[in-house]
Amino acid sequence: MILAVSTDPLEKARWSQSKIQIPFPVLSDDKRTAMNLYNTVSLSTYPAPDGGKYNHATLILIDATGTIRWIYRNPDYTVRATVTDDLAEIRKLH
Amino acid sequence: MKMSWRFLETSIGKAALGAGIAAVGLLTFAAVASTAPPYLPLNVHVGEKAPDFALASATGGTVRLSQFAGHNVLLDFYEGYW
Repeated sequence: MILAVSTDPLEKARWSQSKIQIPFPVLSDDKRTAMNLYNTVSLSTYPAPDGGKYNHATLILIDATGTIRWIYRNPDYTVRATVTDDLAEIRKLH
Repeated sequence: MKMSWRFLETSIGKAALGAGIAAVGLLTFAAVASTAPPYLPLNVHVGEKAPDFALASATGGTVRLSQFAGHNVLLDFYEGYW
């Protein structure tokens, strides 16, 4: 299961999900609940549309027991790992 | 060697010494800054339990991380467009 989390308001999250028919949950973290819990806040001074902070793109792979098994962060706060990298890490869990 | 120390006692020598110390300080700062990661440390680490949270889903309702217990989950914090 993939859970996508951004600081987008719910309307924008709905737009993103429907635009390219994302087959997994797209969650709105407009109150920065998960961001603050995990501290994924970006150092970028470029403000989000609501004036708050953006996430630093972060991938966290959690296994079936709820344990974090892999974390990926790129120096560029907008860049995520490649699908190839994602799949390679997921396969290690099996 | 004696001449070198005398040189440092002159105004030019003191200025040169000050500039040298400043240069070393700047180079040290630049080296530390260039190796620092461009992001804040996370509150979570590999091997730890992932903290639970609940957020509104674009397809309606609320999704809680813990509801996927028993399944592998890729948590994707992102911004911008897909």
